[in-house]
Amino acid sequence: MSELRWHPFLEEWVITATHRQDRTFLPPPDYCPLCPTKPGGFPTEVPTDHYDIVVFENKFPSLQRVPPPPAVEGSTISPVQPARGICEVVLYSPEHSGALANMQVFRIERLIRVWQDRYEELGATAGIKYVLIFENKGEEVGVTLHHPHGQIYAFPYIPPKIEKELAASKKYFTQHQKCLFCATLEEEYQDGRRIVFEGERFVAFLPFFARYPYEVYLAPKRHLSSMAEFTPEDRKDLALVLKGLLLKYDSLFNFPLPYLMAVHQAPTDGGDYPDYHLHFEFYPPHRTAQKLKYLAGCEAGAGTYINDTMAEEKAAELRGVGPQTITELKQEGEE
Amino acid sequence: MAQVEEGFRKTVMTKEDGRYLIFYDFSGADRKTDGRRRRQEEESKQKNLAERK
Repeated sequence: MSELRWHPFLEEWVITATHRQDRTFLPPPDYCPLCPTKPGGFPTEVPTDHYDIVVFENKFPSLQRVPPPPAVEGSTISPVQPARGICEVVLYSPEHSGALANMQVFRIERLIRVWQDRYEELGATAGIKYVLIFENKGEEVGVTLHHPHGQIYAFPYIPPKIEKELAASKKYFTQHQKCLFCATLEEEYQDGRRIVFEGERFVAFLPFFARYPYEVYLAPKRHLSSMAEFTPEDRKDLALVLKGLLLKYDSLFNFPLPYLMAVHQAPTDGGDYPDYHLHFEFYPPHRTAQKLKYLAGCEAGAGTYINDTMAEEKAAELRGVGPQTITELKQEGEE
Repeated sequence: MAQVEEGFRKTVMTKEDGRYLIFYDFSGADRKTDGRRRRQEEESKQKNLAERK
């Protein structure tokens, strides 16, 4: 059973998708549904290992191209709608082990090219108003399959967090004739203490207003609203900065750091968003090597985050570990 | 169905249950990279030979 149910107090949609309770949960490596099908083996999602990157529709989608009618009736206060949309899985490699951080730079560049293609193709699909590219890494953030992969949700509406960012960006632009994110980047550069890693075109920083101890924003230095505007040089530099940041994360506590990664970019609803700035957001749940941050009473109950750390100190920690400059990673990018 | 885009080939298949599967193949890009790598190796060999002399 699957539908969108309207939350009248928050004025946002909630997705009901009961079939997702049956999805594959942490199978042993020999039974990974994302590995290529082996001769004589059980059929997996991908029949061959001859590929660079594969994208397929999620077997347990939250949003569906042809959704079933809602299983319940809505009301005037809480209407319901079919959960229309598209959910894709992006396999980074046929290899079961590994992670985005350990991929060679040229492979990350290819992945970015695929993200760009999916943004353009899904965004051009009738009824799709927002394309969210994301990755959940680690059991701590709810990962159920360890094969290196990310996901894409194509929404029939603009999700609430993005709507809020769009409204703030528009408001700032109207008042100052300037992009809010570009202005924030200027402030971050003036201060300098929260810059974590940078390339020629992209920069990773731990924002002044961070809600998680190791939360990082990664963004183009020049104003870009979406991946559709990427050049080959942008993809190359982004691959280097992305890898650099992820290697820093993994060097922090000497284990692969779990995280949530989400790409925020312009909606695909046909509107014009010149004041919105593309960026990646990273939310690692760890606050120390052994302790996790949970969304507790104040966060889940009231929507106000409490960060137990100083962004300036955590940024310094991240700066101090892993690669120090993109030059260290560039040679690999030439392979 | 195969489609050639900037730097890659995209092949779309349909699974038995109707879901699509898209293969992205960057092997054309690989060939360019291999050529560049070979040139770099060749340049490096020449440089080493020159240094020995």
